[in-house]
Amino acid sequence: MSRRGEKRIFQRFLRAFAVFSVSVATVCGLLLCVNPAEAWSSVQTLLLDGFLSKAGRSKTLLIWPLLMLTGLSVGCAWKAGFLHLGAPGQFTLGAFAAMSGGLLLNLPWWACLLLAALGGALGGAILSLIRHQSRISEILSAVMLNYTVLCLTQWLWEDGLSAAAETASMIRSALPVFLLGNQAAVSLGLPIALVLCLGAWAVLRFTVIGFEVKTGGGNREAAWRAGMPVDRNRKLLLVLSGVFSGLAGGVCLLSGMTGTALSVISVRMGYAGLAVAMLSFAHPMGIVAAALVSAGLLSGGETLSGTIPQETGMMVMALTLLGSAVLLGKNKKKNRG
Amino acid sequence: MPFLIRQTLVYAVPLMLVALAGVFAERSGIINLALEGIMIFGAFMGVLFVRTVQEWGWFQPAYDASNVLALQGFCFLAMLFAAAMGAVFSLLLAFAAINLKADQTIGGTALNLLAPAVVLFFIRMIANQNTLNMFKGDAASWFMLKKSMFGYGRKDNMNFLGSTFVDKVYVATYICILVFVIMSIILYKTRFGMRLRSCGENPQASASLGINVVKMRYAGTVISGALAGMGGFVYVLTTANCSANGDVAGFGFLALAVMIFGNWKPLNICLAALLFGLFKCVAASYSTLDINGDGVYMLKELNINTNIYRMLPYVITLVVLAFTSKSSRAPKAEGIPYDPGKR
Amino acid sequence: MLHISKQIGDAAGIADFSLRLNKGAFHGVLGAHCTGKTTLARILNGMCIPDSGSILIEGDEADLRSPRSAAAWGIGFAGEESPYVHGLDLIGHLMLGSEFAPSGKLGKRAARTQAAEFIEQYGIPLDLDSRADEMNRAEWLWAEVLRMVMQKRDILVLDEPDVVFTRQEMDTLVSVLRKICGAGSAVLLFSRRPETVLSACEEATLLCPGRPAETYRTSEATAEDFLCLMRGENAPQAPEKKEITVGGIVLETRRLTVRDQDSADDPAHDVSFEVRSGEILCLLGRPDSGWDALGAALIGAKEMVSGRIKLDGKDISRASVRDRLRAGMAYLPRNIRELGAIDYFTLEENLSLQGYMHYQESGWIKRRQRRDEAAHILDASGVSGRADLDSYADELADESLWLAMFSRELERRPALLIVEEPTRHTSERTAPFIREQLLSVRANHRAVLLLTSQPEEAMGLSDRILVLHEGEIMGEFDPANTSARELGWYMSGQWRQQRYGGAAIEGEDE
Repeated sequence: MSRRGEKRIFQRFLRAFAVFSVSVATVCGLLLCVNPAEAWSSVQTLLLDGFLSKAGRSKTLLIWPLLMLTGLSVGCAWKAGFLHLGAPGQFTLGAFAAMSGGLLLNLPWWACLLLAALGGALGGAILSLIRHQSRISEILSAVMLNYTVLCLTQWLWEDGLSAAAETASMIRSALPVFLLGNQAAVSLGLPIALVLCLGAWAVLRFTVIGFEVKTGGGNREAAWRAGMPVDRNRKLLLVLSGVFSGLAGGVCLLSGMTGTALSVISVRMGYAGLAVAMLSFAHPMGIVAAALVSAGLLSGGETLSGTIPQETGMMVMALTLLGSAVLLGKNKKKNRG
Repeated sequence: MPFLIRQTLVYAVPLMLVALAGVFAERSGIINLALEGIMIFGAFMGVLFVRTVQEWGWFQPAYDASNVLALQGFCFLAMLFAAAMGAVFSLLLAFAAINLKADQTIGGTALNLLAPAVVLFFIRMIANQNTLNMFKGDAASWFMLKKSMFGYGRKDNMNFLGSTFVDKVYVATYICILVFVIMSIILYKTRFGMRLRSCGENPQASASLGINVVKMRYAGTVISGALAGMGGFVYVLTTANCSANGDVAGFGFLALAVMIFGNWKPLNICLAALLFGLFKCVAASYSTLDINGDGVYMLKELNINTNIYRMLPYVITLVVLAFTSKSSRAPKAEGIPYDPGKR
Repeated sequence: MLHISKQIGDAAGIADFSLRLNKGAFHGVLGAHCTGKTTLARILNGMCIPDSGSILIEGDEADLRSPRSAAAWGIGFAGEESPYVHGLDLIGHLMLGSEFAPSGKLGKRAARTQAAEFIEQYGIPLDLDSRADEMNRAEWLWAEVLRMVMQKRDILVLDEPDVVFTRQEMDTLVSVLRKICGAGSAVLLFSRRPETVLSACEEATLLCPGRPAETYRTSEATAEDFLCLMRGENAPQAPEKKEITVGGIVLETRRLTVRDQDSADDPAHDVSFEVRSGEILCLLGRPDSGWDALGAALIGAKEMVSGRIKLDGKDISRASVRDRLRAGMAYLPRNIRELGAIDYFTLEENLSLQGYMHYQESGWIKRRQRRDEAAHILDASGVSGRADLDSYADELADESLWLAMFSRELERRPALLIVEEPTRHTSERTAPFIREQLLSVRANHRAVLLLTSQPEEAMGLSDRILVLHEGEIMGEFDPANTSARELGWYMSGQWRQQRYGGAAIEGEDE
């Protein structure tokens, strides 16, 4: 990595850090105004509980792979030139596919994960079809699809799966878990996500197809005139983003996170993944780091009790996304790649 | 049939108002994806206003005396407040996009995320549950126009026009139509509107003629926020019985679809809104739809799962847009931050 | 008395420029490419801020921070960009910015009456009933002049109108502007051609490389004097063109029609021509005459509706971009930054864009090899002094980027090089390098297709010139036997050779 490249990465890190800090500070300020008495303790819980307490840590370690995967999904799409808002829908599809596999067919975990990936890929393929056959903006079609998937899976759930859920069990399909010392339990989802992030980084940096994707995302016309199959790559990328989000859904389901409703968690993970990806300028290694920090924040947010509601975590993520929007402004092409 | 028409209007009118909100922003050159978020925020603020004013008891005597005029005035004040708050919320987008040159699509999405989070935060703090309701009574008793107010008894039937447009309606809906018409006229027939539109198409040329592009874009975004905020409040007033829960089920995005389908022009937006409103109406109240008035609830008989109906508006949107997007034309300079020094 | 006095130091290439403009004066600013003319015009329009110096208007210091403030100070500007605003008709455009009504409503009728009066008074050849979306660049320029008059601007700045107008249209413009000066406004005309300034203005300020700007009275100078001054003392001579025997046909197009989704007319219609090896063919036309669409269609970036393209005898009409590149085509668009390079890529990555398939092995990029090849190209381009392989493309100046990309294409030794306006981004120093390279391609028995809107460029470099107007060929010329003036007639569509569908024309008259 050249000197200038290093300097650039450092600058981006600083900017991302600044954005994150400002968001956290804003929310802390809000807490202070709203409930001065409990503000200090809530801030502490929010920021640190995800890492310091044992329960918090397990929650963080559960959320981290999900954010990594949804972040990767959005990040890859960003590199290829689009803003991917369909993550929640693909997450839901993946989770649902995994659940069907587990409940109806009693498949082992790896098969369920595969189904999850396929489910997500289906979502991606539909988006790709819509986008290439018509000129609907990718944002509108993704959002509409999200809502459609939500209703669809709700229907399928009511129509058959809920009955199956009462009779069958998913023990066979649950992801294997291993213990980190005696500190926390980690599901297999985490190494899977880490490996995928590493793989994405390697592909983008070292392979021809990575180069084509980056070029296509940077300047479609230039890539086109250099003879690159821009459209084919874009279609592939959309499906791939679907796979990542679908896997996230599968991992979520199979790790046993059934506390919150699927619709709520898919939206949270999907959009938090967006924030993570934008904050790290879509760099896969950056996504790993940003996902960890955000996971800690979100798990700390969930632990908040008393009169401070749990939305605090999402507020920080939303503000972070706003800050990233400033950093990624169209005129500042330096920050886009 | 009167019910069908009435309900369609109830869904169509906020839809067209929010779509016009989108038009104002985009015509000035700013992509406003945050319509959903602004609606949520405006809805919350409107309900909060109603609730707080009820708590203070200001309009209680009017309610007790069935003073329709005063109550409608109360409703109107709430609408204005929601609009003002929507404008304030949209300032976030305006500042980020215009002064900080942020990416407008990401910024709009961020606001869409921020609004429900902030709203739910405050709802939980105020009411300790997930929904914020009116303090006393419900929207129907406070703000709805009923035939009893015009001297009809419970069993009397008004004529067709009456039962469609006068009985069981909210004046808010009609006020929104008026606002829509006025704002459309402003956009197309006044000096301000012409300048606004030129800022969205060719900001460099507009600036070299002495137009303050920054001011125009702020104006466009703030007006957009006001209209969306008002639309959001009217939406929860008429369809959710004046209660806010941090979600409008994608209405803001449906409004975007209406805007695109209506090709950024007010008249087409009206028609598109009626179409989409019809679908929303069917989806929401299919089981109580008695089309012919003969007591047969046809759609309910078909026994299709509720979720299919809920899915209908979104799927129809996709289908409709797929066939029309090819010929639509967005303002040329939208989404591109204005940089005075640019070539 | 109206003064503008400007001493600007070191603002993007202008050093110490001074100018005094009097009320009612018609003043010219003359300078070759890249001598700061456009920067100066942009400063006057408020789009660029000088590093030092001041602008005084009628004695008051004018702070031209933005186009708005320039307009407030009474400066009107007509430049390169189209002032078209979709959705407004012509009258709307004329009214924009100073609408003719006290209240909020639009006073279109009043505007139209006023416009008609001014057209009558100054003799502006503009049809008020033209449709705004069908007007060409020349008509827009007239509209802008009319608008400046209607808005009572004291100072009219025109940036290179002679690029858009033909010689005759320029004559009309000059007479209109003289009348406007007579009414009290001052006109500042920027141009690259001494003849324009000499015939129109009373005084001219010359921007010369390496010397401070000086003002001369036009009655005391001739075109040659100006040209010498503009070029500077150590001007490199134009390179010699060797006689080359032209070989076989490299590129052949037959009845090529290109369609553009955004516009109503076909940008190029029924175009047939051929380029032979060892030849430089030039397609000359105004910027909107369609050569950019043709170039894009040849490389495969724009869709061809009908016709055939053959490269070296093989039909490539349906071939993909990659296949055409492999077959030996190379293409350099004039806005290289938008179409040919990625801003946030390093120079190394940008240089490898065209040949990236060469440095790969089963999908993995051979980074060492890529770097070596990129270094080689960089050395050949002459940019190595100013940038290195790890610079990001958005840090490079337009000129350096152009040179680097130019070398990138040449390195591939294409059978046909299509290049748009090769000397547009270059200064006097580097333009000869480009010319040399193009001539060496020709000397190596390969073919060059030159697409440009500058007659001088066409005449200096090419062996044959085809003039395009609104997507059709107007005529074929031998550069040695024609003049910029004659080419101008054809470029504006007024004349047409019989061979290409024109009626019999009168004899060529200067």
